[in-house]
Amino acid sequence: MTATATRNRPGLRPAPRAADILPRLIAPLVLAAIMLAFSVLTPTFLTGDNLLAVLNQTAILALVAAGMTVVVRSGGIDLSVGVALDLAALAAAAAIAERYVPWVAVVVGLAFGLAVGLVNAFLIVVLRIPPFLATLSVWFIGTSVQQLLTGGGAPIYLVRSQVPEGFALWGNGYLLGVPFPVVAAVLVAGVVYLALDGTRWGRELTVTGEQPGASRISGKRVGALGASAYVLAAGVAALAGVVLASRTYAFIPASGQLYVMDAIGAVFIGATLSKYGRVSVPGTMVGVLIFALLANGMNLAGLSFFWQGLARGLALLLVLLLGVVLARQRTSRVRPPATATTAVPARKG
Amino acid sequence: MSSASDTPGAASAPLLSMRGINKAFGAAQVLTDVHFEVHAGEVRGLVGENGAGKSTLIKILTGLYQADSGTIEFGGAKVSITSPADAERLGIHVIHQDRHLAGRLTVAEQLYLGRSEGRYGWVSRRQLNRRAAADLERTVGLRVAPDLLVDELTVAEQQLVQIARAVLAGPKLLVLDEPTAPLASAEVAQLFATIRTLQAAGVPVVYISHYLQELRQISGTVTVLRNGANAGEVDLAGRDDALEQVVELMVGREVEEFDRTRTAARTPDPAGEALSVMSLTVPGALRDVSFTVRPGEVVGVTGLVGSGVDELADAVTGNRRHGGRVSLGGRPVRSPRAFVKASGAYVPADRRRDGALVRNTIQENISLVALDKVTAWGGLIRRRAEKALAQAQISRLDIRPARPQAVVGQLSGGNQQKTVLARWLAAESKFLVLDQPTSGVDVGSRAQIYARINDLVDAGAAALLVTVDLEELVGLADRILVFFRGEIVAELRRGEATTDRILALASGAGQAGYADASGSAGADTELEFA
Ligand SMILES: Nc1ncnc2c1ncn2[C@@H]1O[C@H](COP(=O)(O)OP(=O)(O)OP(=O)(O)O)[C@@H](O)[C@H]1O
Ligand SMILES: [Mg+2]
Repeated sequence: MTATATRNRPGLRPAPRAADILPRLIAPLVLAAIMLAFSVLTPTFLTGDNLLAVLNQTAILALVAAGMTVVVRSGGIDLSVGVALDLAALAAAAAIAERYVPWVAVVVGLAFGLAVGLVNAFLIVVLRIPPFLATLSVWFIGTSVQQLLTGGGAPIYLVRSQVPEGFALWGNGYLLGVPFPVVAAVLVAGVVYLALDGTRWGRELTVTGEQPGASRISGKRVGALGASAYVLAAGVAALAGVVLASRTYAFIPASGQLYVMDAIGAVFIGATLSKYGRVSVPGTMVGVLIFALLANGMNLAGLSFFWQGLARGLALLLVLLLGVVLARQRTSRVRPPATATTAVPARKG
Repeated sequence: MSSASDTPGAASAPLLSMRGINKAFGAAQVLTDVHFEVHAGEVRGLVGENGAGKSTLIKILTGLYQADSGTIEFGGAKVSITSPADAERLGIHVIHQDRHLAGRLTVAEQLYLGRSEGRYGWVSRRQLNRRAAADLERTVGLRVAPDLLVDELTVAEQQLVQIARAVLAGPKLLVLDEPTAPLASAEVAQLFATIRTLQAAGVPVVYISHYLQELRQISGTVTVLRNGANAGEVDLAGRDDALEQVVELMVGREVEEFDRTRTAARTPDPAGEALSVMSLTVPGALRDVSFTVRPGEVVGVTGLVGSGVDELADAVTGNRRHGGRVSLGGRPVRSPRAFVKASGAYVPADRRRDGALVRNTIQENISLVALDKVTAWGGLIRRRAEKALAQAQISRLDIRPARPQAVVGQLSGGNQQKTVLARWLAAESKFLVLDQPTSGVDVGSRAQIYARINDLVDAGAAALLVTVDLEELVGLADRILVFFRGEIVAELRRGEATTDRILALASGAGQAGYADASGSAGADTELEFA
């Protein structure tokens, strides 16, 4: 028995309604509003030099947030990326201080950061500790480790003139007039975007994060996929750590922690760009830019540093609230299932 | 469409009257000027093909969706329902097609969720559990430990818990959206008894089902939707060919006898072995189960809730820990991945959680297992190839809408089910474990799915079919294994199996001591299980 042609018109794409799209445009609109406001308030804001400086300042957050996006997409969260960043910066700075050649310093730094990711993967995938708690523990432990390694948390300062150029470049060099950190952030964000939304790995990771049971039944390596997310996030954070150590010619303990909450905020601002609350690199970058331009604009406007946390919190709330309010007004009220918060929920049995 | 004049309860004013209901999602008009009335004490059937708009109409009634226009009158007054809480306050209780149970609650907590009992503060857990056990047994005849987590129940058990919850709330109107899809015949009989009790108390029930035979047993008048509009109403008691008339209204033309069965008998290779199960044991569910499935045959499996058949599908596919050995084409199966690698396919019973990827497109759903075929160098997915892969399956299974980019969470239940099946067809799996493969699928599409399964098996694939639909079992299976309390109690060949016989075996008849539950032999077996 075949169907008649009178059933639901096949092939007809429902045109999206404005009411359906508006909640997803909030974050980009907020970004635009911030740009508009500050360019009116401060004449220097909308200059090429200032914007490039902003991007340079933001590169490290952009890197950390790109990694965080992967972890959140896999259904988890990583509170320990700051530790990966710090340990990488510490190892790299120490290696330079000990006069190792630049590439050794960079490799040692990345290795220290990756180690943090491997520990997370082990705790979450093998021991099945919920990601929030596992990475919280790693953060506590990692913070202590830094203090112990630096004799109670003393910073390591490198003597500028003695730092080889091959290392100084990572934080201070230019490529075709663009600061190297910006080049690194753009490249990494691009690659992560492509990996998440264009490759088989990204597809399988996403499915595993949203519906682990379905992923497992389809024969996916649920554990390995989850592990790869934590290792990747830590690796990217480690790169950010190397860049930071190079830029500041120093290692300052616990500086990575500053980026963790900003990164999480940016990722979830970005999630509002998706109908299903799915996080993505482009969305995350909108969130990162909102934070960055707020900070920069307030600096230029002469507002004190202490106002910045308030501004970030309000921006985050604004985006999330407007999104919720507008979504409620849509005609359809059915919400997609809540995002899974554990990376590897066990199937029954 | 004013057919109220010829419905049985026409003398009294209807309890529920939905009029001129329109609903569109984007540009897709899903309901057009739909009228729907329910009178006190009636069991009103609501039928239509997959995607006809049944669930959408019900979701509007419960405030999950808002109609674009139209009015709802309940108990004689115009009402506005903007949330499920509004509906429950009015006494409208709905068992949705896609269950939304909170997995972390216990059965007892779920049963009384949001009810006044909780408000008096502290309730003794022992008391609560005892009461829950009694309530479950009384309302739906279900026996499960009330302190189990809802997640630990099978789909059928979850369904019964939800029905019990609604019945206990003392509804003024009960709506059941495909309630029997996961249920076996004995549970269906129990459900019907429950419905009749409600009916006797004057509480009307709206009953949505693709099983038209069930409607004949339970319902008086059915409302038929076609393509989002009223197609007519049929009084099932009125005419002998009433069901044929219903089908005709559903699809919009006359339909020949729909034949689920295949004509020629198959001759599977007697030496071949696709799936071999040896001494399979799952604590609390299955004991020492052994059987084989050969290439080119369909082995059917059935049993009541608690017989272990749902656990069987999970265990065989590596999704549930078990004792014993399972191998597929000679390769041991210890994990879901090993099962899939050995060319296994698994359509699970819990479609919404473990089957359909509800936030992904049809295309992404279909390619999931066959990603090998559409992945280029560097792991990049070739979208065009992926789309082509999906399109082939969409047209083969007649998935609607036939748009590879449609998001699967927005498809009707039957079309979601077809999408899950399509995933394995696209991967060209050689061995199929199908747990309720046509759950929620309309009559026409069911025939299409059966034809596809038969094609594959004729071409040398093998299938293990777990189903509560006995007609489906008899029509499709070459051999039938009947389970009772975790063991195989009978193996029937094609031809010796009738639905009556299977039913008797599945409910324990033929087991020593179960023909007469009060006999002494019954006590023996009881002891053995204790
Ligand atoms: N949230 C939504 N967004 C877009 N389209 C939707 C949504 N929900 C349902 N639809 C569409 O509305 C139509 C009717 O769906 P509905 O679920 O009401 O069908 P149904 O009669 O219950 O079918 P089935 O028997 O398969 O359960 C389908 O074409 C479906 O794709
Ligand atoms: Mg439906």
